[in-house]
Amino acid sequence: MSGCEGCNCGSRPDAAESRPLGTKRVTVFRYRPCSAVEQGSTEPRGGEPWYDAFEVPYDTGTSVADALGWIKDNRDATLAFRVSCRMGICGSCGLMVNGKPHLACETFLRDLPDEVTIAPLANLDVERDLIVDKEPFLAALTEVKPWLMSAANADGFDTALSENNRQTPAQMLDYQQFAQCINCLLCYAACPQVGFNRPFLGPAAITVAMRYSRDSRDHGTAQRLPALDAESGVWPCTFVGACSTVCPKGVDPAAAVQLAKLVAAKARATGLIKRKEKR
Amino acid sequence: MSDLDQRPASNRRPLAQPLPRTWFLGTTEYRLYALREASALFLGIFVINVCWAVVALSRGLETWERWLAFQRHPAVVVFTVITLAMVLLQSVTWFQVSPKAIRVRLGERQLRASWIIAAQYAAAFVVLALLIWRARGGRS
Ligand code: SF4
Ligand code: FES
Repeated sequence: MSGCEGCNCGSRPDAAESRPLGTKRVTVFRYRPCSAVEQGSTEPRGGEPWYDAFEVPYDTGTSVADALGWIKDNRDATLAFRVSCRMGICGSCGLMVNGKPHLACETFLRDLPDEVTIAPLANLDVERDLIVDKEPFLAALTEVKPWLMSAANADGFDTALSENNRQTPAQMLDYQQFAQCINCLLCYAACPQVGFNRPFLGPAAITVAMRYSRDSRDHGTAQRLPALDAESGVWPCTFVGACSTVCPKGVDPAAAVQLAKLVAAKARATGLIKRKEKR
Repeated sequence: MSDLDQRPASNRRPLAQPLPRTWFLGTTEYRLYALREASALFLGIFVINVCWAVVALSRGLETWERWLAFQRHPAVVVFTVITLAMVLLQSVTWFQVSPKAIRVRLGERQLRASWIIAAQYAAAFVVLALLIWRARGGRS
């Protein structure tokens, strides 16, 4: 057992090599948009969601994503789920594991109880099996204009001003945490207000807005305000705080949303004062 | 022609996942949140009670005595104790979450949340001490 130079992970008992540990019962949420009959299958299923249970063998390194892959390869090839990087960075694999939002690639069967139930992310519409519709989130993301806006040209990043775009480490600290978001939408599944208020921008979109508005190089806050200071902007948030608890990247979206509320409230207050002065 | 006929050809049929009616019982975090929200009800009734005390006092000794007697009713005592617990819960959880909205940057480091929480407790105790001092007639 050698491992890479300077790294001692090879000496950790759990990382040394994968050891088979047994099987676990994995129950998976299933849904097909059109009935199976329409698809040419003889199985009269479809329309209504249902659950399928599988006995899945696992070892020390089997993640939920691996388990789903095993089911697809060995038991039911029609199972649909999203997975890509397998290292917690692309944000594709969010789903509910025993009722709580998790990244499938970072959640391991060895850490879960013997009965594991897997369902699509809560509060979002299901397209098929474990696949949710991310379109509303992408629309919200576009609405908050997630890019740096220079003072001269407020609709785009002005490369000619790159000299002025220098930043100190201290300035970077103001937004760096919010820049870690991978758009996995675990926070949307944890947020009851996302469930209640369909058009709510939601934790991650507001966090991305703050990631840019708190950047010393950005001058776009005024352009983001119409989206933030709207009925479906920052105000549906009642500070439940669950978004920050489930975030796999330590982004603390709840903090970003509260800061966004301050930005919106300040803009309203100064707007009122300015209007009075004009009179 | 029905609406159905005018939809573009697609097999999409997104399935909505409405929140279950008992969602607030789902996790400890939700339960605490629900309790925090419910505390507003108790606080509201408590404030009405206090307003009533002021009115009773202004009407004279007799009404004031009656208000005092009402406060000693077991049901009212239980209510007051619950309200006190609710206020404490509200304050403690509020102090816990407020560092999220208050970000203090010291040079290249962020002030730790625990310091902000501690500062709030310190401020609360100072205010409490001042109030007690005033209530005892400004003498130490
Ligand atoms: S804020 Fe966290 S939980 Fe929400 S989408 Fe970004 S990384 Fe995921
Ligand atoms: S597969 Fe990329 S985050 Fe899980």
